[in-house]
Amino acid sequence: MNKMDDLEKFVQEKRELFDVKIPNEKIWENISKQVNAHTLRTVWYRSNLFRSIAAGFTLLVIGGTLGFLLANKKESPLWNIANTAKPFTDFEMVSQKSINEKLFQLRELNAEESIFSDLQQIDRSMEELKKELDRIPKGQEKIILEQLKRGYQTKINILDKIIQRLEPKTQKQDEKAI
Amino acid sequence: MEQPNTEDIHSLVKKCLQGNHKAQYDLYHAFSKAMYNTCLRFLSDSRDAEEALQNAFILIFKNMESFRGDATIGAWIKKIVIYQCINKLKEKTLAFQDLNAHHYEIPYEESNNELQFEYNQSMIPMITEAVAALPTGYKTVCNLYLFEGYDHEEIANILNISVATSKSQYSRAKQKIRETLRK
Repeated sequence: MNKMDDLEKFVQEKRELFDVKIPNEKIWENISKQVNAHTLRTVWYRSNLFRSIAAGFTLLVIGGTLGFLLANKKESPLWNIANTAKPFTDFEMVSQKSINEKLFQLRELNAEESIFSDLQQIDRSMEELKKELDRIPKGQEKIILEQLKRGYQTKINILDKIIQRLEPKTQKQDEKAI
Repeated sequence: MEQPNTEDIHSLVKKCLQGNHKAQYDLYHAFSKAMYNTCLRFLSDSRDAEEALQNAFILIFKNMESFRGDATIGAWIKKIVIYQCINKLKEKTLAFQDLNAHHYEIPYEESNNELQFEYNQSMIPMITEAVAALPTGYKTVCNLYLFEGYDHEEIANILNISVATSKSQYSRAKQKIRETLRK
């Protein structure tokens, strides 16, 4: 260990006296808001319901299979949620449009029927989540909406991956045919 | 707030892991003052320091499960806070690239003709100001070594520079602090 000089000795001895400034209490408020939202999501994640939903998603990813969600959105309880759900309904509409396009693409690529039936597992999980919206305490809808968003994103990712896999295969088949 | 003892801290961490809001508040308050001052020393701007502190504690609470207990919770928190500060500095400047580019080859020599001072408590604000006035590279190495207790090897790893660069930067930083204090 190096020999300490006078400055180092002084700083070490009086180290705490250098910490004089107090942080603004607003910092804690901001931290608390963000951490609390995260904690609620974690609690939700740990609930049995979400575990089964997550398991459903995992199964789909492992099996490399999918289904589709084409429920009539006008009848969905999501449309009845107050203003907090407005950005979600927009998100849902955009996501659903993208999913429909990808499903159409899959049909064009002659994807196996089992893929579509497996994707229905996600639909069922999403429907369960939507039902939860009526049951959870007021003010906590955001947590469910967040999970639903993830559900849509997962579906889009799975669809993309399957399309990616099928496209080269189809190309090769076309080349062979030529 | 009175500084909690090790046992209290251990219990706070456990409660934080269970999502206990009050425990999070207490843990934050046990370390926030020291960590805020650390941020200020690195970033020299109260807004940047507040942002770094906030982001660091959000990360800390969200990733508390990854705290394995192989270091003290204080050391773990400090590490995250310091990385936040360094990332912020990197966003703002190319200070560390400059460090390597211009000083890599400078050999480390501990100066023998140190300016002697009678250090006393009244000099603390002056030392703080002298450190704040250092160029970013010098200041970062100086803060890590002098105030945060890292050795040159650790500093080299944190900043991705050589040990020799860390030593020479620190030596120059001290020299500059002494020159400022003499004025």
